[in-house]
Amino acid sequence: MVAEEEREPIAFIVDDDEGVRQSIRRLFDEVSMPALEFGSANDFLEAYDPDQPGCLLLDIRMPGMSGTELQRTLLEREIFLPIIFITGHADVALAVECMKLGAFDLIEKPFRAQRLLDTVHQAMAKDREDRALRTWVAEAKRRFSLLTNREREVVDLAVTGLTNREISEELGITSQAIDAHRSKAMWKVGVMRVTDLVRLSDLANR
Amino acid sequence: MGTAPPPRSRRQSLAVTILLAGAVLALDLSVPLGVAGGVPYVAVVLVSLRSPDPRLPIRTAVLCSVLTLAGLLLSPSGGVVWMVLANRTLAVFAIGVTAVLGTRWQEASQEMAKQQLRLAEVSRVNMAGELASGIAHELNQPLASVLNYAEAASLAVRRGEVSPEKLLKDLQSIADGAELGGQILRRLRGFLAHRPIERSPHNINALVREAMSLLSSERKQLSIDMQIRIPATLPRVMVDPVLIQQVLVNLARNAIEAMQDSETKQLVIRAAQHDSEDVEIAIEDSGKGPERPDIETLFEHFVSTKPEGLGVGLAISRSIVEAHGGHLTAERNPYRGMTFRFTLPPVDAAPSAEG
Repeated sequence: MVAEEEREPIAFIVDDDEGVRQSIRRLFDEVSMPALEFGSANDFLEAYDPDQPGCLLLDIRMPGMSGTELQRTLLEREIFLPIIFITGHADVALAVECMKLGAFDLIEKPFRAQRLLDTVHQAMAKDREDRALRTWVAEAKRRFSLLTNREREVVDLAVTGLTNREISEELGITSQAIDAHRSKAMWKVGVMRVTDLVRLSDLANR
Repeated sequence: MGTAPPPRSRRQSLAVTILLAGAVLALDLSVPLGVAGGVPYVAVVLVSLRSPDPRLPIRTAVLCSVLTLAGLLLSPSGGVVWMVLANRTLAVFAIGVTAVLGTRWQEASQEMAKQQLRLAEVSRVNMAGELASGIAHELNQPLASVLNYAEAASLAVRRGEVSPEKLLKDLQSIADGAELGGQILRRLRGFLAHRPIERSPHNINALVREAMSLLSSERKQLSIDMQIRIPATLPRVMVDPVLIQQVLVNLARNAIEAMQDSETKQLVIRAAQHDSEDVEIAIEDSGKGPERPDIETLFEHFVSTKPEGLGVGLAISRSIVEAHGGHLTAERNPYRGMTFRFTLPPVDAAPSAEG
């Protein structure tokens, strides 16, 4: 059902320290992980296409827009790329704040390659799942928008487990009419079984 | 420029006080009774306030009051009786008030000095904390990058797909990172020299006395006997006064702290010029000297012999002296204590900088 072809995920490295940035890049090159470097939060914001999957490796402390400010900006723009914070010193308060805002993980410098690569793989997997889910939700919402008000009413009651008779009592129309509305609705949203209708309705209501 | 009065020892103060009181008594006895001959005792009380013994002023006041009343009996007669009595009473009153207010003032200024010391201590600790956190952050950058290159190179080697060129590049990057780390540490060593050094001609005697006035309360508290022996013929030196005074305070404070538990507490500051070259300043104490055998390690960062010491003072002092083109050295005295010596360039090396 997802028509879009899947794009290869990219690890975005945002750190003002060129040495650190390039060394991480070198590590990613070694394991053939596509990566892009940015020296500032603004450079990244300007260049980033929200449809590009991957994850973001972000230095917390940077001149100009800081890592945490970039995190907030991305949230405001509804960009949900997983963020792995990289920090030079353990600032507990800052770390807690980042995690509360939904950071994927926080790694302290200096770090072992395996720790970074594992975390990046996990973050990319999560991004893939999140994107798939968001695509499904959007698709379900689109399909449900095709329904008439009456059809929507019938479906909303049917997915809660009510029988035709109970629905007809609730809405004051005949059981045959309910049947007809429900069949039409299922045909419109493209499901054959009630269990699929329940799942789709669940997505559409997210 | 306010130079602090030299603190006297207890015995000296007591002797001076008694001598003065005797002088006032003699004066009192030599003038007619009608003259307010007891009033100069106020001056005796004021002089006694300079003693390190906090009880001396009150004792002096009692003594002077007694002497004032004794003068009533011993002075040659003359004057109206009620006026004589009023004069004596007022003198005793003035002596008492001076002693009480003086003692209070002394207590208050001691408390203030203590608070200032505490404040300075706190700011020193804060500075060290910030410094340490700053170093940690800065050093982490090259460390992270060194680690990344090393890991990337070992990954490549483990997979067996490594060209010597690629490996060489990684090794070069590792070397660069290590070098950067060293640069950060070097920068740290001269962190006080963030401010550009502003040299101008200065009189060593004035510099030393002003710096020592900053330590007068500590010196007084520990009853340290300080001698400044600087010949007036010395040329002026080309220095940044703030930085050099920082060195002087640092070294003198170390000396004072080293003598805390010593029997003899003698701080001697000398200056001399050998063969019209650099001027040498020596700070000599009579403390127990450092326990560590290798004196040179005292100058290393974060090495301290004091329980609450941070171990940056001497290292910073040496950086400052070296930034002036001088040397700072330490040596054990043959008898007891230590001497720190440092050299400074005299002004005639650059006469045009005058003014």
